[in-house]
Amino acid sequence: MFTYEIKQENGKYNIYYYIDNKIETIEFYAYDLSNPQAIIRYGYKQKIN
Amino acid sequence: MTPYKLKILNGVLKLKSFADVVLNIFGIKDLGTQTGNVDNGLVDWSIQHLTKTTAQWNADTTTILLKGQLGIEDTSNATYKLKIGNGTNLWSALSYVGGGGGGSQDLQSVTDLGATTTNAINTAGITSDYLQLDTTATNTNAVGKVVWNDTLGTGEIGLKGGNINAKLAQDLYARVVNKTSQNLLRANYQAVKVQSAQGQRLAVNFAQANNDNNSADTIGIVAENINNNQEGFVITVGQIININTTGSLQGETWADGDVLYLSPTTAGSLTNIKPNGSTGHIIVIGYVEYAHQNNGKIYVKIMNGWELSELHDTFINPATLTNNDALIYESSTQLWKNKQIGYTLLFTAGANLLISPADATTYYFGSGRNSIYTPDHAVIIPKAGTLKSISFFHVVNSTLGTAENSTLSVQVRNTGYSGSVSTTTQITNTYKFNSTYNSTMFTGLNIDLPEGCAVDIKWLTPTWVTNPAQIQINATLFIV
Repeated sequence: MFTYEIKQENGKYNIYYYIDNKIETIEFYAYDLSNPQAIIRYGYKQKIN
Repeated sequence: MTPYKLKILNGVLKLKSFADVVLNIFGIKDLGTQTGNVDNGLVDWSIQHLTKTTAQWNADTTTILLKGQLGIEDTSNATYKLKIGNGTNLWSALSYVGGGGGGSQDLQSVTDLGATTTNAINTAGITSDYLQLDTTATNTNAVGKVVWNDTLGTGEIGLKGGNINAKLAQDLYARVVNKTSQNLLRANYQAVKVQSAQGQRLAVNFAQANNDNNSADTIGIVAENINNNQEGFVITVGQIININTTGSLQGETWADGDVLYLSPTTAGSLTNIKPNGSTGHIIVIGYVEYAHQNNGKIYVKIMNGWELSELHDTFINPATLTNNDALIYESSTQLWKNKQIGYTLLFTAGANLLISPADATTYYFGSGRNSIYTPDHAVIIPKAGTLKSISFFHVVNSTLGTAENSTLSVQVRNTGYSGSVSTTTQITNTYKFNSTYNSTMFTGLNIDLPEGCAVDIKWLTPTWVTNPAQIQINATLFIV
């Protein structure tokens, strides 16, 4: 299962990508959630904790 | 006519009185005109002997010179020829003899005379249109003597020392000084190389095909016994005979026609086993003409060969020569030169999915994507080599980053994916993503890459004020 979640770290938002709940990689996402700098990868669904 | 006679007293011709001057000395019939004086009983006279022209003598069928009588032939070209009578033969049957007073003889008369004795002429020099050896004669060799050897089909000349008879137009010898510290034996016919010069002659030592220095100047094989530090002959081209050519001296078995090479393992020795680039230098010494224990023959013709770097249109620079160099043609100098060849590997991160790197995060990339795990995208090196240089290239497709530095390293697992990290070599710690495009080459690397090792690029990001977004980064590895 391909999932992602967005985490706020050090005043920025990073996006964590998972495959079967294992972190695949981490990317910078945005300074402000209303203005994302990166595009969420296709096929990943938001992880629900 | 009663001949007059002279008396010789104490070795001096003396006359009783002037009246005795009119003599017919030694029985010369036609005394001709004589002039002279007597001074204290000593004769000072000129005597003209019986003289005729060549035509006259040839026509004369009656005159028989007495024993010891002189006859002169006027050849009408200012030369005179002399014969001495024997009391029996006509002029035509007598031989000419040499002498003063303008007398001469032809070569035929000399060789006719010689033919009755030893056929030998001792002289200070001979000038001739040609020298024809008698191909039917049998003679023994001697130093300085040239004789025909019909079996060998040429003349032989005995060289100094009396041990060698060189076959003319077939053999070449060099007189050298033995510097091997050993007494050289003809029976061992060892190969020697030029080491230096001594006494205005080449000084030789044992040749050996183990390297260029010991083999490149191979000049010949020993042709006679030469004591240490003494002079003697080595044969450089031609046939050496009467030696053991069975190969037993070398621990081998030789046959007629075998090619003989300089031994890579035993100094001075020959072998019929052809060396190769791995076992030694290929120095052809000659060929077995006849494999025999006592009467063996070798035809010597040394071919030392060339090192690759000795070819005219090749320049191999020893200062740059290194593993995996290849000869590459350079048209500007028209030379083949040693240059590095290798292959390149392109490592990419974010090739298909652009990456927006997070702060203070370590990424690994190699085969097309990136990961926070190693060696998820490592590349397996199929052939051992050395990483000599690496080029990083990036494209920022969205927001440019600020000027904080990234650190990029090469990480190697010698035993592949499953092994632990063997080496991590930092390439740069100042790489920036503050431009849309950037390409930087890092050279001078020397990172060993064993066959089958796993390689990936380790990328440690900084904490940016503004993170670059949607970027692609490539690493091109140049491996030789």
